[in-house]
Amino acid sequence: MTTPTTDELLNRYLDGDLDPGTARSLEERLEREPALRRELDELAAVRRLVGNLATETAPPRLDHLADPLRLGPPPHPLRPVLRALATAAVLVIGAGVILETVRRETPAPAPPPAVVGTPSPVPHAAAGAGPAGVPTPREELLGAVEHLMATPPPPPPLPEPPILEPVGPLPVAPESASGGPPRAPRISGTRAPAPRASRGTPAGAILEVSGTRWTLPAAPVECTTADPVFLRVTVDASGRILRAVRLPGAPGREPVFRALEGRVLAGLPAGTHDAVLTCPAAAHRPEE
Amino acid sequence: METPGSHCDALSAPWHTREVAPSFDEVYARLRDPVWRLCRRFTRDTEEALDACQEIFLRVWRGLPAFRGEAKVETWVFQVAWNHLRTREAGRRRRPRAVEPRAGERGSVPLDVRDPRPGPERRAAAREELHRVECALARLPLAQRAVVWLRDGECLSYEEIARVLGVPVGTVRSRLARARAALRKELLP
Repeated sequence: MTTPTTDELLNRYLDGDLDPGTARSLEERLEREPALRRELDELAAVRRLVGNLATETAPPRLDHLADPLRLGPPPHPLRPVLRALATAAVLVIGAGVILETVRRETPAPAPPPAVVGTPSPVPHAAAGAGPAGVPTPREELLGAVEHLMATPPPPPPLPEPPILEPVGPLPVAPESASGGPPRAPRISGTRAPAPRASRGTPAGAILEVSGTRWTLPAAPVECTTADPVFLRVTVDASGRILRAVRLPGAPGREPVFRALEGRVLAGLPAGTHDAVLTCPAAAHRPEE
Repeated sequence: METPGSHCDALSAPWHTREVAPSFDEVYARLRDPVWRLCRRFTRDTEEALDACQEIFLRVWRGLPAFRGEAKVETWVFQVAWNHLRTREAGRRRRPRAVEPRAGERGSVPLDVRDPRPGPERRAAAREELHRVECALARLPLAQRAVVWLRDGECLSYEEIARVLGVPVGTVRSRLARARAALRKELLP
C-alpha cells in the first residue's frame, strides 16, 4: 500500500474521506504548519469555485428533444435481446448466402482432407459431374469453408501469346487495305472448311490474312456468326497482332476483336492487313 | 477544526429509495440538469451538448427496463453518460478538428449565479469568474476533469466516482488531487 501524499490527504480531509485518527493527526499538523493550512484553504476555494458551475440548468430545448422518450411507451424489456437475435439471424442468413454463392462459383474445389473414421462416400472433385457426384450438404459446406479458409494460390504466369504457323495459302488473297475507305475484302473460290468441333472441346477458327491462312486453337469470343467476318488487323514487326477491328458492314456486333490481340502471326510483315475470320459452326456464340 | 463547506453539504436525502426502477420521467426530471452540466463540461458548444444529452437519455430510456438497482440510479446514469462522452471525445480526437472552440460558447455561464450581492457589476464579475473556472476545467485532461467535476460539481462520493469511471478508488483520489492542484495553480496564482 502506498502512502498518500500530503496533497491527497488534504483533499481527502476536505471531502471527509479520512478516518478519524488520520484526520486528527492532520489537524494537528494544520495547526502547526500555516503553509499547509493555507493550501487547504485554497483547495477549498477551488472546490467552491467549481461547485458554482453546478447552478447551470439545461435549456428548454432539451425537454423538446426528450419529449418523445418521456411521452412515448417504455421500451420492451426484451427489446435488446430481440434486437440481438435479429442481428444474429441476419448474419447467419447473410453468411449462408455468401457460402452458397461461393460454392456455386467454385468450379471444382479440391477434395477435402480425409476425415478419420468417416471416409467421404463421394469424391469432392467429381461433385456436379453427374448424378453420382452429387455432394452431400456436409461436403458442400466443407468445400465452401475450405475455399474460404484456403489462401488463394498465386496467379499462374501469363502464357506467352501463341505463335501461329501458317497452314496454307488462301485460294484468293483479299484486297489490299491501302487507300480508299475500308471495305470488306471480296472472297472468292472455296471457303476454308470449318473444323468440326468435338463435343466438349473448344472449336478452332480460321484466320486468313494476306493470302495466308492461320488456324486458331480456339474460337474467339467474338465468334457470333457462321458467316466470314471481315477484319483489319495491325501487326508489328514480329507479327504480333496489335489491333483487330471489324470492317464496316461485316456481320456481328463486336467492333474490336480483343481475343486476337497479342497473338503472333509468324512471318507476317508489319502493317495493316485485311483479314477474314471464319468461325466453325460449333463455336458460334449467338449474340444476345 | 472546521473544514470549509461546499454546495454538496446541502444536499438532501437520496431521492430514490424504492427497490423497483424509477420511470424514465422521474429519472429525466431528476437528472436532466446534472447530465446537461456533465455534457457541457465535455463538449465544445451548446449544440454538441444537446446532441450528447439526447443520445445519453436515449440510452437511459433503452436501458432503464433492465436496470436492477445494483447501483444508485444517478451512478448508473452518470456511467452511461461518461461512456458516451468518452467515446465521443475519442472519436473527435481521431478526426481532424475543423472548428476551434468558440470563445463565447465555452463560457456558457448561467445567469443565476450564486452571488447574493445585487448589481450588474457584481453579476458581471461573477460571470467572469465562472468563465475562468470553466476555461481552467476545460484545459484539464479528460480523466481529471471527470473526477473533479463529479466530485465538486455533482457531489458524488469517491466510491461512486470510481464506479462511474470504472477505476479504483485510489485512482480517483490521486486524480482528484492532481486536478485540484492544477486548478489551484491556474485560478489562485
